[in-house]
Amino acid sequence: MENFLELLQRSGFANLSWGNWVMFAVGGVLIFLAITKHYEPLLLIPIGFGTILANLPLAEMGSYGNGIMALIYQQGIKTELLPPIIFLGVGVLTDFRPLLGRPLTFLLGAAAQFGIFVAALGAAYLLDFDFKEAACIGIIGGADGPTSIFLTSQLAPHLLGPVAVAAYSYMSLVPIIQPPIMRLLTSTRERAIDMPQARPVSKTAVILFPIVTGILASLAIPSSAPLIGMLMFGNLLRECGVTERLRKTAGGSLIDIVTIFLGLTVGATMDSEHFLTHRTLLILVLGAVAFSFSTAGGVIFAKTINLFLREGKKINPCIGAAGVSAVPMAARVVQKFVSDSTDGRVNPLMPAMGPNVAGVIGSAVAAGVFLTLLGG
Amino acid sequence: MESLDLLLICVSAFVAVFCLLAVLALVMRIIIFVFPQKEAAADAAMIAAIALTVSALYPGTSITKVEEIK
Repeated sequence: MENFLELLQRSGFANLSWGNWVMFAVGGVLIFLAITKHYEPLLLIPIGFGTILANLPLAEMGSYGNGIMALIYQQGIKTELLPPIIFLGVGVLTDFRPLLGRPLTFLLGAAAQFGIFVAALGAAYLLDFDFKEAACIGIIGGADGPTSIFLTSQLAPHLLGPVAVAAYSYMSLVPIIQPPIMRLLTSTRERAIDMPQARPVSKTAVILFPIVTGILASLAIPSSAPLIGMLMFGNLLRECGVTERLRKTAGGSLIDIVTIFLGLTVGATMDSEHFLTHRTLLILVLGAVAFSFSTAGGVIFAKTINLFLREGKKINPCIGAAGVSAVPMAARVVQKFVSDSTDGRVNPLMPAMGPNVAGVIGSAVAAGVFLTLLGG
Repeated sequence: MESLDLLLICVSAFVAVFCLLAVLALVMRIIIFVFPQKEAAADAAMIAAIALTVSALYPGTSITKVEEIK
């Protein structure tokens, strides 16, 4: 009987706190959204279950403890290993032709990083986060999960859980967040601008793009090299046409394996002690602010460019909203919004893919700059 | 003073992102100009099918050029 009582006392049941229950609910909500709403299921399922695992008392399944999750966290995230491998896979899966066929849209990918800086300043000026924390919160506006994890694991690892959840949540909420902002900032006439097809791009140009970008971006901002370098290497595997096996592995099994580890470990950072603070709520709010300003930045910059373009060459300003990374969802949302607004006459999916993939480069560069200026 | 520092960092970062992507846009524009997409050779089977159809509809007509307008 005594042994039984001792066993009971050492069980997780006896050590559950209200915080654990709340986090079970949070993990459950993430899993529910992934399954029923299809919100980023490949990430929210591992993150949701990781959250549950991290809140099992005495199980040592949290990323900040001493168990298996902590091992993956220490070796995979703290060392910057996993996010760049995700970027390798993203490079394999991304077609940069829409961007190359219309190089002007590179600038929309830059403008749509505006929210990163607005949210970072808001976090530091108004809400008393320190600079490193503010930069990590701001990067949510880049709408790029791996980049957010990459930066936060270096500058503010204690915020990894909330930042990652905010980044992936808002990525999946693109269809809800962006349309009202596009509607507010564009006129019916602007939404009806039908862009001509982008010029075709030669195989040579497509192969030179990852090489040139990898070199230039890494020379300019060396700390962005792990992300940009791997992204471009992945894209070279895709485009060179002679590495079929590597392309398949990097864009398939490898990215899947790393996604499992990354998702579970990020979820496991969300133990009640680290997650249930008022700061988490602030981060979620600031993430929405960052995302909204990034969307607005892209649209307003596209409108500004139109002031200098002659009739027939003008761009549909809504494609600026796709400059937030969230590939390809942001481009699809822009296409659907414009199509709905024009009764199906205008469908700018390919034009929106240009700024969309430029945004991936833009947010990685922004993270690299923050790491350079704040990391030391 | 600290806040001013972050402001400067953010401005620097935004300018850096813009400049780098602008440079990439320029470089890619040059590369695309230097290595343009070559016109794809016309599909012989398609030309034969078009020629056959046209000559059936308008006997004596010959096809000299087939152009695809996108």
